[in-house]
Amino acid sequence: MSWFGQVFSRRHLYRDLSEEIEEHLQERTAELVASGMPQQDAASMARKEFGNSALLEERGREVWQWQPVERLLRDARLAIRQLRRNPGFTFTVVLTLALAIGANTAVFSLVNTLLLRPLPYADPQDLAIVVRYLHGVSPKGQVVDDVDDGQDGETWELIRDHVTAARFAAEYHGADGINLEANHQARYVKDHRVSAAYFDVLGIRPLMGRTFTQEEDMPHGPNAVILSYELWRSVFSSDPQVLGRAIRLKGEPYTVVGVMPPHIQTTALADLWTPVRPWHGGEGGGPNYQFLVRLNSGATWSQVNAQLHSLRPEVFSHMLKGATVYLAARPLQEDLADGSRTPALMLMGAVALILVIACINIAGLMLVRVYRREDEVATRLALGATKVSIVRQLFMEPLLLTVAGTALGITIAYLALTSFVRLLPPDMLPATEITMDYRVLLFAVLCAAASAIFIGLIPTLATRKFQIRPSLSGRTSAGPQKSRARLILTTSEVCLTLVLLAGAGVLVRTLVYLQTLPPGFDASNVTIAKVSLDDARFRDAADFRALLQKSLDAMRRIPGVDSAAVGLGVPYERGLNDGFKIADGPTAGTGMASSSSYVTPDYFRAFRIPVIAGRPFTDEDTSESARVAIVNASFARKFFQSSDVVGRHLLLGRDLCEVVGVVGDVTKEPGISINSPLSTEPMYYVPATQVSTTFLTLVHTWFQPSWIVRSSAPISGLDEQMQKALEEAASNLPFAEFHPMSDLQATALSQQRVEVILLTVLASLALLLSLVGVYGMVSNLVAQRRREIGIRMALGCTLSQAMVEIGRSGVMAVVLGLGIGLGVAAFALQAIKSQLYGVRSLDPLTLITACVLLLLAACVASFAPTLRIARINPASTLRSE
Amino acid sequence: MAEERDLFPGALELMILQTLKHKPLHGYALAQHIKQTSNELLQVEEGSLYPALQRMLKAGLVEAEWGISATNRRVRIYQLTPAGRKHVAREISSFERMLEGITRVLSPLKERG
Repeated sequence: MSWFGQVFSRRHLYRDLSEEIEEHLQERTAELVASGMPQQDAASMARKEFGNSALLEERGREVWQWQPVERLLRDARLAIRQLRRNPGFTFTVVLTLALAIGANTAVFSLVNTLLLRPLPYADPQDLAIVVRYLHGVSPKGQVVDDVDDGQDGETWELIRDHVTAARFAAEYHGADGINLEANHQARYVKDHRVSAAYFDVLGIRPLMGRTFTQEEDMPHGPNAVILSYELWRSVFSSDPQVLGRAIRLKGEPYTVVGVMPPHIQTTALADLWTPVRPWHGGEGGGPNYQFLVRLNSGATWSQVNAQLHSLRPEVFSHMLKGATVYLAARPLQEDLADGSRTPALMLMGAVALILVIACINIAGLMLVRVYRREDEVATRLALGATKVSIVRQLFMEPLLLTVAGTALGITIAYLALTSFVRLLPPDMLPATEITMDYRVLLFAVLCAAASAIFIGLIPTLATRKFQIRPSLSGRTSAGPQKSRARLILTTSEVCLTLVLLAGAGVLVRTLVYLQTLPPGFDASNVTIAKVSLDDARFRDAADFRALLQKSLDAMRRIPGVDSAAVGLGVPYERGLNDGFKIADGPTAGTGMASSSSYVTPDYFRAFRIPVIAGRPFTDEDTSESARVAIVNASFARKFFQSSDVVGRHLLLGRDLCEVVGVVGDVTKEPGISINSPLSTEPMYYVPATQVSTTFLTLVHTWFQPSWIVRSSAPISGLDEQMQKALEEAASNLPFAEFHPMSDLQATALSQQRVEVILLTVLASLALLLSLVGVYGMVSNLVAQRRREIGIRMALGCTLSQAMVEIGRSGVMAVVLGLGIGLGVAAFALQAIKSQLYGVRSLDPLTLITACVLLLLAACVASFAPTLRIARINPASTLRSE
Repeated sequence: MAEERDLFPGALELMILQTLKHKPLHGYALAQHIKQTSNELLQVEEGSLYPALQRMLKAGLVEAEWGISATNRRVRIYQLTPAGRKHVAREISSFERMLEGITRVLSPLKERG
């Protein structure tokens, strides 16, 4: 008979079978009666000889079924009926699972994009970046372990000439703002300077034209530019004749040689590319390049590394004495994800904890359900159900719940990802978008499988202890092992929650510390905008001075403007690091480095940076007058070991500068010591009028100075008026974006803020879940021990004694959990050390706060259900006995 | 229950087939026949006959029809199909071969004992 036919004739077959069995029993009974047995005994004898008729009939029917599937379907139907009878339970569990699995899926998508998915280049495993490793011991006895991808021009020349196992491309670290004039437009665009082999190494072919030639990549070579697809469309209206056209960049003519295809991913966000022309002079004198590496076919990384190891650039001799220094290739993906690895893994850890806590909670709920069904399970066992069939059915509920939870969770994750990405600072991720691929789905399925197994396993283990007899006698008792299982679950939940709370706590304290760092200036009503002066028209110091003079005069004339100034750097930004020497006193002649900036006289007034001693710069500090400098308080302390430094001298290049003033410290993104996203560090200022053409040419290729305007009140249309004022001084000179100064502070700490928001949300979720866990455990205890409490109270136990007796177990679980949690947190928080500033990973205040918070909340959750004890009536309990 | 059903896998089926080879029978009569001919040596639950019969029905070794028994009862009578006949011949010869093998292995022990 075909399977199809069987399905239809099945009812018929089943009916025949059951009739037949009935006939058999009757025939046997009749025979026994005929032999003189009383009717009743005969019927029971016939049944005994026959065996378990229900079970055997079932076996007979099973012959016609597609066994595993039919069994599963039957179990599923039963489980669905059970779940529909408890909509509250079902809803809670599915929602908890959806949130937990959704969070895990979303964060895993992030980890996948950042750390796992291959880069969007051909043969990404053949791509690397050259880094300099340094292992040594500092004079202070500290172990120094440093990895640096900034390289100088001499290193480039050595690599280019001696390493044959791979191809190399140099690039400037990041894109700079420059001025583009084309098609009657002046635009501030992002220029990424790269060497001739850059696109070849990445494996990107131009859409039109070609990449740079070796000749174009030599110092003083012909000026050439490659356009991005987006720029070609917007500024050049997708002009097919654009190749060979001359456009003006940085005030000089450049020839368009190529257009790149759309949506390419390179190592920096750029509108166009120009040759970097790496060599040992100019910017090549410092570690301003990065080197990309593409392995030659047939070569191995160990060959490349062996060739790199043998190179000893001059710069090594200035490194830490006695240290091991060498060059090596580091996988590109590892390098790109360097900054985001710890935060991403920290988030992954946090959401994983949430999933575990959620599963523990659900397992606790399942435990209650399975205890309630103890009678049913015992009855089924007594009627001949196998243990396997009971387990199969116990697993069916968790399975259905996780399937529903996971489906919902993946949807939540998908929807959340779009908003989540918007929450992140734009340059935090080296990827432009986070997408879900098969890895993410596989991960979600694994999460779901692990959850289902865990949630199903705990109740299954509990049924092992079920005994048929006491259950059937209708006297199930609250055995100690029942509350013990729950106690262990709740304890572990509390333990994990403490870890999350402590983690969120130290991150909050980090943010508070960073946000309450005294900024050292007043950001209110200050607007800043950058201009690229990497422009042929302003390279000469005299032209530069004229531009500042004219534009600032025009801006001061805008009604409502209080002061206007220009500075190479502004607070919250990373500044220029420059070398200098102290020219007098005991430390005279020693070379040192510090953050520095040129500024116009009103700079300190515009930012309201206090002048602590001496004077600010004035209009009398001209290119002709004596060279002067101003230092900040940290600089005075660190390099002069004195606060009385007015009249002392610095040697900047060949210029001997007198220190004429000391100003207050401002908060900046550190340039030299990268141990905090924000800090106050030593800094010196020089007048914008006293910098040389050579200096300007160099620093303006890396930094774009800011025009700073302070108004007495917010001015509408200030941006346009500032642009107009700049136009008066120089035509075709565009401002980049305008920013209220207060925005910069927010941007500087955006990563910390995102971390704090996410971790606080997760920790609150964990807290809520574990409180539900504690509450559930205690209320279940109340229900289980109702009879016992009633009897006790009848025997003279007071209400409060009974409440303490029951509620105690909740508090005990929490105290135990806190104890273990402190130990676990001590280990776990080590992992996020690099994310913490101004607070230790094991911060006593945070840990105490977290413990007290958990304990208080747990007390409430423990004693709230005991209020129900008051409703127990001892008399009715005794009557029911 | 499954583990106590048979002596060895297929033994019950073989006995049913062998019994049906001589004449068609209904379930109860089959059970009594197997019990008696095996001298009650085989402690088989009478009811386990029915799942076995269902299996053989499905495999097309037997066919069943409602009829009237000698004692005037409405019963389902089973008889072998041609396929069932072939099957029982094959099974019995292979069973005999197996039995012969077992006997040979066991016989030296018997001599000693």
